[in-house]
Formats: sequence, structure tokens, C-alpha cells
Amino acid sequence: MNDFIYIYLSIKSRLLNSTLTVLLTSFGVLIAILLSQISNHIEKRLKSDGKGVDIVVGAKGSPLQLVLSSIYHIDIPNGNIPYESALEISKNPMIEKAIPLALGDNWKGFRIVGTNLDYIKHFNAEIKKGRLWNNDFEMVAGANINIDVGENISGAHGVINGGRAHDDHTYKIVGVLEPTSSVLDRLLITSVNSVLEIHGLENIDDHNEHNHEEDKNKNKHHDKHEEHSDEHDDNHKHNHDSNENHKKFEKNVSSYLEPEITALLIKTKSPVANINLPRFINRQTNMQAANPALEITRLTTMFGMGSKTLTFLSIFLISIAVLSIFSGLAGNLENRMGDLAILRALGYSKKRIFKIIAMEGTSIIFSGIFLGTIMSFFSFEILSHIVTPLHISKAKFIVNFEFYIIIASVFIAGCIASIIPAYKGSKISVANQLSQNI
Amino acid sequence: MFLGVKNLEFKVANKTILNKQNFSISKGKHVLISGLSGSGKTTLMNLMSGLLKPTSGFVSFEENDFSKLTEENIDQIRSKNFGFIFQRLHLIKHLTVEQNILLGLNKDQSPNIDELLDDIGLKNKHTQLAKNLSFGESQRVAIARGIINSPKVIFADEPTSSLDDRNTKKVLELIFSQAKKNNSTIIISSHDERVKKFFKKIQEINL
Repeated sequence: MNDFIYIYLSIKSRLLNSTLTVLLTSFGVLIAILLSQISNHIEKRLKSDGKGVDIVVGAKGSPLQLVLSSIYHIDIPNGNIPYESALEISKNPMIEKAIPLALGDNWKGFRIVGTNLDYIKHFNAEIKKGRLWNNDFEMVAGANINIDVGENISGAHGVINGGRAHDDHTYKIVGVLEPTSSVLDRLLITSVNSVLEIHGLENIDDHNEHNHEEDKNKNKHHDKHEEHSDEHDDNHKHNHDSNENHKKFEKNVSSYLEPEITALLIKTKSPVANINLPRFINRQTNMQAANPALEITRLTTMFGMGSKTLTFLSIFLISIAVLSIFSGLAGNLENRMGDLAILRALGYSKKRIFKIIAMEGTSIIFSGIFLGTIMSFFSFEILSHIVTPLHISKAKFIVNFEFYIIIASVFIAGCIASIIPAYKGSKISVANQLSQNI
Repeated sequence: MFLGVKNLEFKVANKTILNKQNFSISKGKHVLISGLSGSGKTTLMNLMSGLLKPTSGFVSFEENDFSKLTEENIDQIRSKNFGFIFQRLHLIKHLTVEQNILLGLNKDQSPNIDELLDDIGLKNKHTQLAKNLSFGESQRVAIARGIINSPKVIFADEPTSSLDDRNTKKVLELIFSQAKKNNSTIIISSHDERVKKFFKKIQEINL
């Protein structure tokens, strides 16, 4: 009889035991692969989204919250910082580039980010359709947002779906970006001024101009004051001008508050600056500087505790499966000694007996691995559709080195569990075994 | 010499299980190994078929001295030339009648299984599981497994020990008729006096 048929019939005769072992193996493989896929995906996303940002400056509070809300757009911002202060920081010679972010609104759960064009360049994003914004209330959409050029939208207050709508202001979509496989794909980008305007804050350009004007007025006032003694006739005129400017300023102050932004993404000129600049900001200002690399390490450590639990669970399941194969074959071996002795008497060599028992075990482990791999593929596909973060980041099942390591480890463990009873089975004393049974 | 033993002796922990034996068997001749229960009949059968290694002496089959062969060579000789019928039959219960019989078959042979099943009175029972067979049916399947390979030697260990006179006759006639087809040598070990009348040569084993 063909050995494969004999193995198949032998496994079939222990169907319940074999099925349970296959299922145990497959569940172990399923958890191990899913865990690896999700961890890899998160790690990849964290790296790509945080690339090129050395320091984040924002309101005092949790540094992790600041990093998550400003870089990864997955948490609520700590608060706002005065634009004036942020501008001052960005002039620091240790800074290579500073990108302002004004957050606070969303459209259907997609965050609206008020920033400048450097933010688009930061992700090396390109326009797929339309153009970048030229004016306030023009908006560019990330690749994962189902919206087209020419559509008008109203933002809603808050960074998650369901806030009060800003119906009095609408944005016009003027461009859609190419996919970047980064957080940008799920953001709506506009100018800082657009976001400030909606929230009743002073336009940063006007603010700069206003400050400039104010300085000019001060100087003018000063000059005129110097001339005051000599030019009495002009006194009235000066007072008139000055009063007009003051009235204009008061009008601005009464209708618009000082501009504020949520965060400043900073790329420094040197690694030393990554240490010195946060120290300076945290000690000398009312703002907070957070180091994304440090905060993400903290986050992954926290996440790692959870993933370690799941890793242990998958190792536990696989170990049970391997032990089940071992106990299934070894325990069954006692009952099969008579059968094996008969096969030996009929001329089956020791090698052939070893091969038959070992292949029974490896067939079970192979079936478990195969089923587990198929299950993990489909489970990941389902998860990537129902779990929002995976869905919006278009997570894909990746066959990587870790995947092969999991498969190989389980297979080797299963083979070892099969080899021991196979060796024992091949070494039986045929005559003794038959004598015991006769 | 077709099959012979010379000074064949087997001991376990200095206890003699089988005294020195010397005899030879010609091709096509049948031999009954008789003796009291525990006299070493089964041990002699196991030594002759290469399932046991003797303490001293040797077994030769068609000029092959087993003491000079590897275990694998002896396995090959056994699979090609010997057939076994055991007292307790030892069918593999989760296999069907046909699958049990085919276990004894060499890869390079293709016997007519239908004809054989017809011969042993188990026509149309190919797919019946061994565990569902009666003792009589199981015995016939065990005989069929022992002869499927057209062996040169059929070893049958106490094939009639639990049978009544009628079934003893039936079983022995079946073994002899199948052996005749293949010109096989039958070596039966038995303490059953009823078996003696079927043999011309009887090898007595005495300790």
C-alpha cells in the first residue's frame, strides 16, 4: 500500500484528535501572523508619518498627546499657542524649518489642517487633480478622502466627526493629492488663515501687517511728537490720523482675537538642537516642546506590553498544538505498536516506519500552518475593512521575513514533536511486540 | 539449501529459550514445528524469518546467511519472500479488508485482489472495515495478507489454536490450497495435534 494512503487513513482514524491539533496549530499561527502584520503596519506608519519632524511645539500638557495630535492626527490637541510666540521660536537659528499647524475642525471625521505649503512639501506630495490653494478657504484633499475638485464643504468643530458645523464658512476643494501612504492621505489641508478666520482669530498676515502698522504708527507718532512744538498747525491733523488708526486697531481687537495655532512642527539643523531647543522652550516659554522619537518609543513600549501578551498567547497556542501532535503520536504509538510490528514483520524497514510516523505529524502541522495562514490572510483583509485606522491607511497583508520566520518556527517545532515518536516507533522489537500480543 | 538452520540457539539473560537446532527445509515442502506451549516454537519461527537475531548459530535462506546481512537486507528478503499468518491475526482495525491485504504486497506486484477475495470467500467485502469483521472473516483476511505477495515461505503461528475441528480443517485447507498455487513452503508452529495429519515432515522442538 502506498505510504501516503496509509498516513491519510491513519490520520483519518484519529479524526477528532487530528482535527483539534490542526485547529490549535492554525489558531496559533493566525494570532502570530496577525500580530506581526498589525505591528509591522503600525511601525511602518509611525516611521513614515513622523519622518523629518524633530520637535513639536504646542501647548503645555501631555507631550505624547501633542505628538499624537500634531504628527499622527490621532488624538485631541492639548490646546493652542500664540502665533506670535511660535513665530518667535521659528526664528531660532537652530531651526532649519518650522511648519505651523492650526487644527480644531473636521469634515466627516477627516481633520482639517490649517498650514502652509511646506507641509505638503514635507510629505513630498504631488497634486493628482486640480491645484494647491492660492486663497483662503481653498482646500486640498488627501488621497484617501472621497471628495472631488469643485466640491464645497463646511467644517465641523472638533477633530472627530459629529461636532457643530461651521455653516457660515465653506471651503472649496481646489485639488486632490496623490497617495503618499502617510497621514496626509486622510487630511484636508488649507491655509492657516482659513482656520483662524472660522474661529474668529486674527489673520496672521493682517496681524503681521497690523504689528508693522502699529510700529509705523508709533514711529509716526514719535516723529510728529518731535515736530509738535514746531508745527502747531499740524497738531490737529496728527491727532486725527492717530485717532483713526487707534479706532481701526480697536475695531480689529474687538472683532478678532490674537491669532493662535495648535502646533509647530520643527526640523532642526543638528541632533544637538534636538536636545537643547526643547530644554530652552520648556524652561523659558509657556509652550511645550516634545521629541516625537522619545514619545513614540514610550508609546511603543506601552503598546509592546499588549502585543507581548498576544505574542505569549500565540506561543502558548502553538506550544499546545506541538504538544498535542507529540502526545497524539506518542500516546497513539502505544496503541499502534502491534500495527507497527506487523508492518515490520511484513517487510517495512525501520526507515519506512520512521517516515510514516514522522509524516503523519508533519502532515498535521502542515495542515495547521496552511489553514492558519489562509485564516490570517482573510482575517487581516476583514480587519483592514472594519478597523478604521487600518482601513483609512489601506493596510495590506505583507509576506515579509517575519512571516517566514513564524511559518518556519512552527513547522520545525512540529517536526521535532513528530520525530521523537517516529524514532521510538521505528526502534520497536518486532518479535517481542508480536510475542506480547500472542 | 532453500532454508536451513545450523546450531541455532537463542538465550535471554543466560536463560535458554531455544536449544541448538539443526535442520533444513526443501523448496515446496511443508513443515510443522510442534512442541509444548512455551517450548520455543514462536522463537524459532521469528529466528527463521529474521525477526530475531540468534545468540549463536545461523539461518540461511537461498544461500543468504542472515548473520552476514544488514537489518535492511533481511527486511527486503522478508518482504519479498515471506508471508505471515499470526495467531491473533493482527489486522489493522481502521483499514478495510482490501487495505489490510494490500499491506503485505510488494510495490512491483499487481495481484488480482478480486480473485483472492473470491478464493477466501470474502467477495464484495473489499471496503468493509477490519473492526467490523467476524473472527472467521478476520482469519481469512489474515491468510490472504500472508499469501498476497506469492511468498516462497508462509509462516503461520498457531493458526488453529482457537478454532473448532470444522474451522481448523477449513483454515488449513485454505492455507494449503493457496500455497499450492504459488508453490510456497508452509512452516506452521502449533501444539495442536489435529494439525499433524496435514504434514509429512514434523520438526519437534524440545528443551
